[in-house]
Amino acid sequence: MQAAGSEASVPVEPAGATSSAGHHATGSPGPVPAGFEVRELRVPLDATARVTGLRLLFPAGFGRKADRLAQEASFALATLARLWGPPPESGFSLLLSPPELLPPSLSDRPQVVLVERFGDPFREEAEALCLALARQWWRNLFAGDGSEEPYLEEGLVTYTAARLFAVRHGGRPAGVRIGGLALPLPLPPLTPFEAMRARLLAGAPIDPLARDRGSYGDRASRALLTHDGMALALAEIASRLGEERFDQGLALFAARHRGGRARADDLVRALSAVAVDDLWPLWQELTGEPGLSDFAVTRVRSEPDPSTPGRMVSQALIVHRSGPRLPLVVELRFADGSRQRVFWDARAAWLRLHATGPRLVEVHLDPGESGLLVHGKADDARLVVPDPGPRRRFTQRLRFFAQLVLEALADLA
Amino acid sequence: MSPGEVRRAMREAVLESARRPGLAVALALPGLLSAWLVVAPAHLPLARTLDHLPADAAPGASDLAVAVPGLLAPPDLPVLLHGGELSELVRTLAGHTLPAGVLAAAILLGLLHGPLQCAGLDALRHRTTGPGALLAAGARYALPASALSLLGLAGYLFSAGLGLRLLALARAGGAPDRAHAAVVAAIGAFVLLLLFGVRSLLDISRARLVERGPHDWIRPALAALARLPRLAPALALLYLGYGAARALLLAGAWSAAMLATGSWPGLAAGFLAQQALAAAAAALRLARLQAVRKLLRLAEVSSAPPAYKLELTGGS
Repeated sequence: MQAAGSEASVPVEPAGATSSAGHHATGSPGPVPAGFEVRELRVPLDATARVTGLRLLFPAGFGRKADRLAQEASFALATLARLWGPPPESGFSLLLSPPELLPPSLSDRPQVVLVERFGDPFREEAEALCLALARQWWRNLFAGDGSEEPYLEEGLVTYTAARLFAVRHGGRPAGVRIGGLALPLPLPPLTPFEAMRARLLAGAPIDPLARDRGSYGDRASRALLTHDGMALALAEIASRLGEERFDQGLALFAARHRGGRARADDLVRALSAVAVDDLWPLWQELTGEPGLSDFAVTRVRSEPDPSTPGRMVSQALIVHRSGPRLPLVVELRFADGSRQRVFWDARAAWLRLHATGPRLVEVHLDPGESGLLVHGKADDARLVVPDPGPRRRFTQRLRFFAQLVLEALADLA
Repeated sequence: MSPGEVRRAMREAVLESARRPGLAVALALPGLLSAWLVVAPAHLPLARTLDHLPADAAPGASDLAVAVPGLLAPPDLPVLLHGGELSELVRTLAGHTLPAGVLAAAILLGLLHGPLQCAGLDALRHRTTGPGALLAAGARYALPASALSLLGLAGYLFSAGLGLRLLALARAGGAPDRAHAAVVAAIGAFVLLLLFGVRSLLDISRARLVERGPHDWIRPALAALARLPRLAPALALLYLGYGAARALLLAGAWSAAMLATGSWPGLAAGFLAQQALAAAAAALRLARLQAVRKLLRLAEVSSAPPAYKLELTGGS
């Protein structure tokens, strides 16, 4: 794939056709299946001499596609090395194939990336590539198979894949599939974390490699729905810590436990080392309750103060409906244009705010939309005096949209 | 048939249709009424939710794009609106009420369209006026026109299904990049050809139905269809021209819908603009049918044997 805009295109060097079996200890696809070609590459990770190995397996005739995806993979590996330090020693391997040409015996390998036959990598391909590389990165960095605390590995893998995808493709219009056809429709793109949140809400399956939830022995893995839940928990911490600080913490975690065992508590310790506030309460909340956090503004009122003419007494009631009790910001907006923000730790089931002064106009929860695990809904903001204008406008648009669709469909007959 | 003749037929048909604004309004009216009926159940939940939403959390232009999630979004990815403010509400509406209502109404409206189109063409041909004449003509053509509509619907579904089946076969074929791209392009062209054939069949049959009446139209329609290979380039030009004009009109109507404000004058202005453009689109649809009728007649006149015998004799 060609680099666009200011993105750097990373050169890839061929490294000959031979590679030892030990070099790809966990990522090796083993013998080359019939009808497939193999290509060994050395990917430079930065301006110094650091390189890592990349082995590509792809069906004969798919060389151009493999070249494009090799560029994509090299960019991803360089990004990972920049963010979180040196890669695992074992190198990386990818098996690129359309679903119909993939031998059934290889379909469950972590290095499998399902691809279309032609064209630039589509959204799903790029996501699958990021996921395969992230999986190999974290799995090969630590000792053990990750079965003790699988939610940690799965969460790190999913979070890493989403970050990689956002760095490379964030903000671009995405192609969509309709009835098996890939179409470049100009839809507003969802960021990877928004997409995860949407999938969590819908309870949709995450990816073909997802394990059965019942197979996890620990409470947090089940509660966090593994991939997306844990990745969103990490993203929530990153959003509260700041991404740069979070990356420092994750790099510290990787450096401390490289080649050894790593646990979730070790991750929180590493992140706490770079954080200003204590992270443990937030971590306990995130890993203790499934799903997204749901709050609502249920009542707002603003009335003249009987004791002081010209002054208003206002009240707002905010309730925690379900999910983890994540701290959030409540914003009160007044008639004179002033705004007041209140930080609520959400320890109690509800919060009643009293204000005296100008007339209260609206109340917003999480106005900056910084809480990834806070479920944004229509009840997160409320007007004191109802206004039918937006409803009239929206209804008219809805009617007209229905009219256009009806006319277009009816015109076919 | 030359492009000049096609252009002339199109121009005449558009002018004839434009001279009958009442007819255009009558053709657009069922669509408007159906849309109001379809959206009516959404009124209460919308009022309950939107009336308390602050302005910057109210739904915007992009929110309507999610109204048919099965068509516009990947199936496994539910859509979150910008900021997520109305996700639940719109997903509920879009997930159940709207698609089912729109589909049911579209089928009914599609069946209604056939007789209405024929009645409109009849009114153009015989220069009749008034709703009574239109309704009487609609009743006269109801049965054969509805049968044609069902036939057309089946034709479209068959074409789309065949196209998807062929694409699935091509995907499983395992051909390399370029060959596969060529196969996909060929399948696309084939499906377009099928769709064009169905559209032409419908229009030609309706034109013949109006000219010959509901009791003696099948044989003339079949005879006209036999001329389809010769007529095809002219019809393709016609459909492209009217399709582009209709797309422009509907884009204008959509823009008018997006620009309307929440106040009553703004809403009224937006509504009138939308309906004027929707009526223009309906007039254009009628003009297309009228142009097909004219092209058919032209083709018949040019291929018919002369009604007289010409003998050239010369003297010395």
